[in-house]
Amino acid sequence: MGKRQNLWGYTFLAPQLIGLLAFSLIPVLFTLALSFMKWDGFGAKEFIGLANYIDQFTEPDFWKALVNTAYYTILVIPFSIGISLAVAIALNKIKGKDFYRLFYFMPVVTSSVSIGVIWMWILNGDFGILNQVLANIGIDGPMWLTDTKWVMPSIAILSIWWGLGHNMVIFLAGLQGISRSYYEAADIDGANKWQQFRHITLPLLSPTTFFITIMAIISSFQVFDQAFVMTSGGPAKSSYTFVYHIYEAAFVDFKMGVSSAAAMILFVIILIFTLIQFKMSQRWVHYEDQ
Amino acid sequence: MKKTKLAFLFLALLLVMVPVLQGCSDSSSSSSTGSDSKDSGETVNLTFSAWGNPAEIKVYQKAVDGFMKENPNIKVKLVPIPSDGYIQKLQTQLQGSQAPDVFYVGDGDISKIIETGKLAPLGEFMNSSESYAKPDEFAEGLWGAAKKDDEIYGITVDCNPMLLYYNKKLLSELGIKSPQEYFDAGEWNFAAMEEVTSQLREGGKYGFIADNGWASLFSWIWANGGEIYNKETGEFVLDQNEKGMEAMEFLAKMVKDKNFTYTGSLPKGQGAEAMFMSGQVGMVAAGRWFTPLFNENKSLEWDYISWPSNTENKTEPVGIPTAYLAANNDSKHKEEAMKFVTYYTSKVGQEMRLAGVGNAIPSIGGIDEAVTDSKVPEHVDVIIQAREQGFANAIQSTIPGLDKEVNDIMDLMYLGKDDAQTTVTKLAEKANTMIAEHKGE
Repeated sequence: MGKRQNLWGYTFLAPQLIGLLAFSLIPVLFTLALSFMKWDGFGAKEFIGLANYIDQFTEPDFWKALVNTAYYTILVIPFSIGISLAVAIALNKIKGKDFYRLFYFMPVVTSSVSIGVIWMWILNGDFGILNQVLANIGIDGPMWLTDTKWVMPSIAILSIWWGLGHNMVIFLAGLQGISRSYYEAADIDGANKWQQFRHITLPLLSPTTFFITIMAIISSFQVFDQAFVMTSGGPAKSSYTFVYHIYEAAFVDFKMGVSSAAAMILFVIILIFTLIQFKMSQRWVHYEDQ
Repeated sequence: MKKTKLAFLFLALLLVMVPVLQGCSDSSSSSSTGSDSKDSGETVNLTFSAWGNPAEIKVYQKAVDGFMKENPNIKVKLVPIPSDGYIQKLQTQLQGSQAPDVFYVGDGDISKIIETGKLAPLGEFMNSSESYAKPDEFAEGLWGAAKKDDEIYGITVDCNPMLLYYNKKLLSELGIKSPQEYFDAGEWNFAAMEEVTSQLREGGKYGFIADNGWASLFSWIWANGGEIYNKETGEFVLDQNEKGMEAMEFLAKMVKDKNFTYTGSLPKGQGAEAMFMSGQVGMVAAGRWFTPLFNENKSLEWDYISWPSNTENKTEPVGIPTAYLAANNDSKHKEEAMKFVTYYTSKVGQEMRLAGVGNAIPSIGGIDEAVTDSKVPEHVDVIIQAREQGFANAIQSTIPGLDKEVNDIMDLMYLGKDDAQTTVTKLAEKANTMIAEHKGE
């Protein structure tokens, strides 16, 4: 009956499907296959089973990269979400909202390399703007990017600023989706602003928060550009992130198999985190129509 | 039902895509076959890639033009690649058989590239009458990792022995005895280095900018008569010789006392050369590559001084960074590619590129006057002498990844986080493991 129609459907989907296959699915399968092989990018690939994975779990650099990335995630996520929610609420009822929204969104569409270069100057310990501002108020600023203790927080600060506009716009959309009638009802019942926020805004915004949290965790596990442009993973590997580790294994050490194994491990880690979040979301995410 | 259909469709599409994807990787070499030209039969087109700043690329072009003048039937196109990510790009091109016919390879990468089998062996051609340069014309210590099992895979394009640049004006303003005076008195040693840098610090300046790299590290170790790798067996020996340990202790102390400032503690992109030119620092270490820049700055008064020697000899061997020119083994015009390689690195080719105030010195004998006649700087001879004694990166760079690991371990010492003893222990452990692994393969 509907066979012809199905065929047409697939025909219309074909461009997207072929794109997805050629540029997503096949490379992913290729990576999976490579992770069981030894290959320097040239010549013959040799099947070596789980050796690459074992190599990774016994590799100190792998753990260092993992710890660094986890540390970065812990630094970024709460602040990133908290600040963008605060800004979104502040902007929600303000005049000239569109202007501010544009203003906050600008960094998001700027290339990460130029952002990295600009922040290298802002954070320069000797004559960066940030330390000069701090000096004016009597604070002796740290060597942001060249001190092993400060480099990860520096990159986190940049990322929070960089992701602010993106998260804020999504929050704004979420806020505008909340019907006025709830607030009016709460007003009549004598709820104050905080109670309204706590019992109306937050629960009804939870699907949006959930989406942003998942996206933020995924992207913070994939942090690379900032470390690559600003510090090359240094000083002394203190900004050596997981994706930087993957990059280095493949394109500096020419170990494609090892790099693929690390990439697969990252895939599994992100998958596990996302699943945990879905599991937990049943307790705190409320959809309006339920 | 529907699901299985979808799965079939996916599978079908996959199968359709496979030949397409494979097709990407079997394509032929990049050099196009020549078209018929005026009268000299076929024109051969070669592509040649190198890294360099715009000024350097112009200089390379001189040798390219010289070659084309002598060989009107060969056209060489110079395609510069940024030095940042050069090896990544080259590697990708080699994988896809899209690499240039002739290309530069850095001293730290050449052994990796040799192992891929993508470099044409040059020995036989160099000993033929077609070649512009013979193997024995080059300084023996410069082959480094480009020679493997007595076969030549790359020729040094030029070389850059390490030495120190010092700011004459700054030192005399602060009333500091010049390194040249120490040297003439036979006292240009670690103690003198400490003295000069301490006085610079007292004068509110940086003493010396230390960089993290094999060339500087080895130069410090050799300066004290120490050794890091056994030149015969290739074993790591730094932890077993007193002199080498002393040199490491000295380095760690200089960093701790702030006589030396580590480049890694300077922001990325804030280089030693800029600090030297603005008179913030008294001494920097480099090959000849800072010279054109400093020479253009007419208010700057500076000179070369050899690496301090802490033995009874006036000078000790130093590290010599170099780059190699190699021919693509898959090139359609291998013969012409090799011809160009030997021309570019020959006396004629090197003189064209290095005469006057260039960014390097010749790696081939007999044309040193081209550099020394410039008298820039006054003691330009220092760099020529340094070449006679020094060594290219030969042992460490043949172990894939070791260069980087050593730099990572040294990074902590230069940042003052590890002491010399800890650093050497870590180095020994890492180097021994990696050398053993490499031998086992």
